[in-house]
Amino acid sequence: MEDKIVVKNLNLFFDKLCVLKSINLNIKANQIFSIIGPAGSGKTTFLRILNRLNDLIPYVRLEGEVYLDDKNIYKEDIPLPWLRRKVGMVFALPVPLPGTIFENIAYGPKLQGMTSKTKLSSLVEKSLKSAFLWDEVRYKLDASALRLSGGQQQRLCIARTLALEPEVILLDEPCSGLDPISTAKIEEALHELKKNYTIILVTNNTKQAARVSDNIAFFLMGELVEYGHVEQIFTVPRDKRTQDYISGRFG
Amino acid sequence: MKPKFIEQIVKKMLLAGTGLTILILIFIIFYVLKNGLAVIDLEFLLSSPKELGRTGGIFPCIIGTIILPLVAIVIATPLGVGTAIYLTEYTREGRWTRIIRFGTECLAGVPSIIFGLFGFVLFVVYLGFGWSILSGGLTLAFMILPTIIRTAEESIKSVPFSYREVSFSLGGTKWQTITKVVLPGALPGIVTGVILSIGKSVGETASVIFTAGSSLLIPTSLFDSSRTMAVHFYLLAREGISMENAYGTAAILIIIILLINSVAYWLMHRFMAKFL
Repeated sequence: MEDKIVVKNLNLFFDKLCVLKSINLNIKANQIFSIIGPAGSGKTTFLRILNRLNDLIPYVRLEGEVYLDDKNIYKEDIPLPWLRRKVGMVFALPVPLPGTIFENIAYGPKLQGMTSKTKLSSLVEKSLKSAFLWDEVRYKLDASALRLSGGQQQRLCIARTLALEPEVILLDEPCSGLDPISTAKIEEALHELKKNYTIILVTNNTKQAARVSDNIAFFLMGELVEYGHVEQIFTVPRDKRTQDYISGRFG
Repeated sequence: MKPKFIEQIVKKMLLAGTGLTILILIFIIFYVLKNGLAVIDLEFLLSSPKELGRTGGIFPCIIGTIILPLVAIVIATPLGVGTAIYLTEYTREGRWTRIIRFGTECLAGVPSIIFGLFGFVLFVVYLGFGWSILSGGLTLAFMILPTIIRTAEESIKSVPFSYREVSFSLGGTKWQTITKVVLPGALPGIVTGVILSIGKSVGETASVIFTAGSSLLIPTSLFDSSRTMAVHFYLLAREGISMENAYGTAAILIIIILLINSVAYWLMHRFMAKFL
């Protein structure tokens, strides 16, 4: 398998504060790559580097290189809409846009100029099926997305990202506000999705990381302590801090 | 004093204040309608004034009252909403935005008669538009601009940042995000600002006399002078021409303002219903 994403000597600053320190990381295609670590380790910030969403914050400064398929995404001439369609994102809290379920999913494709009603319909159906939501909403696509339950909203957000037909999906603690059953549904969806997509998952739930991941990276205070295959991380971690964290003996 | 006692007094005082406010409103509407409704009939609505308004109707004034604020709104809304979008979405909060905001605030505090004078000097005399709907509309537009900018700005800011993030993360450009997510979310607030502005310009007299004049003819172009109902009412009462017709005009004015507000709120709720 080849590397989908390569991060080289990455430093990130909030003003003068260094939030991420010399990160070097390779992420292979068609796998679930989880990022674990305590709050404030820079996990979310790292995720938002990969679709350049940190660009919205004016005082963020970045050094180093980030490659997607051998293309440096921080070069000047990278069109951000293009990048963000290739690297889709699901946020920690589900944020349905005001409007119907259909409109939410069709939002991204419509921005690209897809207007054909039949094309949109089949794309919406396909996306909802992949996100394991189709059976629950197929007869109420014209209902407001805000009326869905939390777990449904989060799967809606996943479907909305899938409708972009991305190559990489970033998930920022997608199950943090959900009950175990909704969580199981999302994990099931992720397992299917990795056949076609590269998935990068930030999670606070170490057990979830163990369940779904192929590879795991452990972040601590802006440093990448180590990363490797899930079994290696959970059985023979190279760093004592990793062992302390995953065994819950932290701090 | 015991907190419970204070609690009761405060509650009664607040109730009294609210009651007084509503009473004043009801009294004004009742008084104007009582004195005005007597002279109102189809003839009054659809004929032109005779003998400077002593007899006859107020048809040209109704036209003027519709056209003048319409011109003002058509000019001020894009300008004001555009300014609000620029201030909130395209600039970083800093010294310049503070200066611009302070400027609009000052503009809101300028007395309308000063706007009238400014409009008279600039539009009527210097640009040669004469006493006309165009001069009056432009002057009114400048008067209502601060209200539109401020309400639009506040409602744009109230659209959650997460919506913008989602739109950007789905490959939206800045302009797509503004038109598809930010503005629809801010629309109720923007419409409220526009309604307030319509009310303000429908009732405006001082600056309108200076700029749109007080012709009693039915205007046929933007360069014609026109008289709004507020101005008509003022002149009828001030010059002692006819108190009956003055009240009749005032009654129609109030009814029209109520109608505008109701229709606007109805439209807004219809729009909101789509969102919930």
